[in-house]
Amino acid sequence: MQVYILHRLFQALFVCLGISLITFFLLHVVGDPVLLLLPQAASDADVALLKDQLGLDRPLAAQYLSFLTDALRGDFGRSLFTQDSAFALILERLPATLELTLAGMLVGLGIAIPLGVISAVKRGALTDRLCTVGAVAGQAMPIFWLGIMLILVFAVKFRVLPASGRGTVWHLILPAVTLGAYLAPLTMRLTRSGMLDVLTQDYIRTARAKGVRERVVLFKHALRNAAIPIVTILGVQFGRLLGGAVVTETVFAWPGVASLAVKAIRTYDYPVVQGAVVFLALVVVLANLLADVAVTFLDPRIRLGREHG
Amino acid sequence: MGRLARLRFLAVGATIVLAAVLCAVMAPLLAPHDPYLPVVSARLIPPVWDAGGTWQHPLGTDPLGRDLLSRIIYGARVSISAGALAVVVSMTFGVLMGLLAGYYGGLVDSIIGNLVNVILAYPFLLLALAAIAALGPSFGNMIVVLGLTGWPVYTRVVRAETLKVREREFVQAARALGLGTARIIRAHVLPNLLNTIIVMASLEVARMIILESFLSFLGLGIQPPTPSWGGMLGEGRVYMLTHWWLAAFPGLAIFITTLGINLFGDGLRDVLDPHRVLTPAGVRTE
Repeated sequence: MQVYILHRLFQALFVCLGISLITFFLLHVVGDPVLLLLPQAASDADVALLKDQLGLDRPLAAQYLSFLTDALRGDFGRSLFTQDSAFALILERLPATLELTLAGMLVGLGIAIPLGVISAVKRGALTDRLCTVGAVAGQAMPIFWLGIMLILVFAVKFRVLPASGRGTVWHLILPAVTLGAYLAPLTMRLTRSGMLDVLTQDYIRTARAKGVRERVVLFKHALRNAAIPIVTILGVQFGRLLGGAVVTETVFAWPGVASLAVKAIRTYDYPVVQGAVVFLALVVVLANLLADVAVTFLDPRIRLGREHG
Repeated sequence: MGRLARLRFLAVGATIVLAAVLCAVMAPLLAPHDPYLPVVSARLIPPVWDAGGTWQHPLGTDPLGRDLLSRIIYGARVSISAGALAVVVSMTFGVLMGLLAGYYGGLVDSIIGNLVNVILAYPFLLLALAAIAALGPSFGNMIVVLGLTGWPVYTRVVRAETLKVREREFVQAARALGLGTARIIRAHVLPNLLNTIIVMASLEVARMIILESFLSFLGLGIQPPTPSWGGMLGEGRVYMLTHWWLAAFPGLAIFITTLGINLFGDGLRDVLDPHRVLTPAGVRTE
């Protein structure tokens, strides 16, 4: 078990290094910050001056190394426009992103898990078919459009919920539903197929045969085992969830880390882009790691069988 | 769900996909108006069933007086071609990587595996956005970016399948006969993975269309005046409070198209690969 967790930690470290390298490469090699920041008519002297000011005249490897060592100390540089520390900007907006993703996850799982269980229990019945059709439609839904439609209906037409911004719990409803709707279809299908697998197992029949109440059978015996693939996938899906947050934050002008990144990308404020992207990616790596460890606690069989997987 | 119901889904999906492709190919014949031509006297006309609507412009017009229906029909060109091309790029690269990792194993496998982990941990959309910001927005750059960020999905599945196929007798026999690696992969491994790849690719087209729309929605994809569904949705959002149809219809076009592709892909999986029902592409639940 410890070996497995250590192995996963090492792998996670490697992934973090790779992410920082790709981000740096994209922003400094594929795109030249100086050329993108200065107007086209800028003279060579201007270019040289800005390069010197930003420390971009040093060799790339040296730049990357100092980016890496600074990042380890929580220093991602300063925004080119506001001069604020990029890390401070990210931390300032982190609570909003956490609030949105947690609320979205609650809505998503709150819809998906009960529907998945019902769908599996009533396999083939009308409820099951409706749920499956709903999941297929949900997976095809572009959530930025869904968000806009929700605003049209609830903020513009009926005027019952605010269209954008953050503040009260009312502000959270539409963004959380949008993000939840993004997460729910896949989770519902996984819950359904996981439950279907589990419900045919011997121990479920035994539990039923000894007279355990159906509700207990379903939610204690079956769902706990069906949860293993769900937790694994949720960990892997965390990256998707953050992608959903990028979309949701943009549509609802939600002041989170993702919308900060999108804004910085548009103005090529590369220290902020670097900081936000690397930071969000680290969150994903951490979530994957936690999900993997959580699964080993849920199912002791896995840590024995997965050493080479 | 019964097999018949699934076949019905496949038929519905195929019909939608066919209709979208037809729109894209025959746009000049199908569109009632020039999608680029501004008509000052026809600005912001609502859809036909709203007060003030006219059959001249069934879905209404935009702030420049351009016919929304015509622009949506032309918009299919961008979405369909971007979705298909991005899938060709990501599939080619992803399958190649998966074959190499699965067939050779060892160091090759661990390098590719780690690369896949890095890309998958990277918030996909932010990666695409950062790359577009660095390269500049254009159709070609968008395809490259979508293609290069979308490949790991294929690599994971192809690697796992290759590992299985590699150990089968016919591959061992081919190796014993002294066939070259390239030939074994091409003639014996790849054909066995084809169904899985086709199903995944068909579902990925939908995902790529949504991503393309989102990039264009943010103004980082297709540039105006070329009509694209995402771009129109982005423009329409500005007028959302007063002119709902500008945002509603382009998004509906995206939704119907991706729904059609998903129904088609799911149905295709049942036909080609009946052992793997109801697991979304790239995600194995066993």
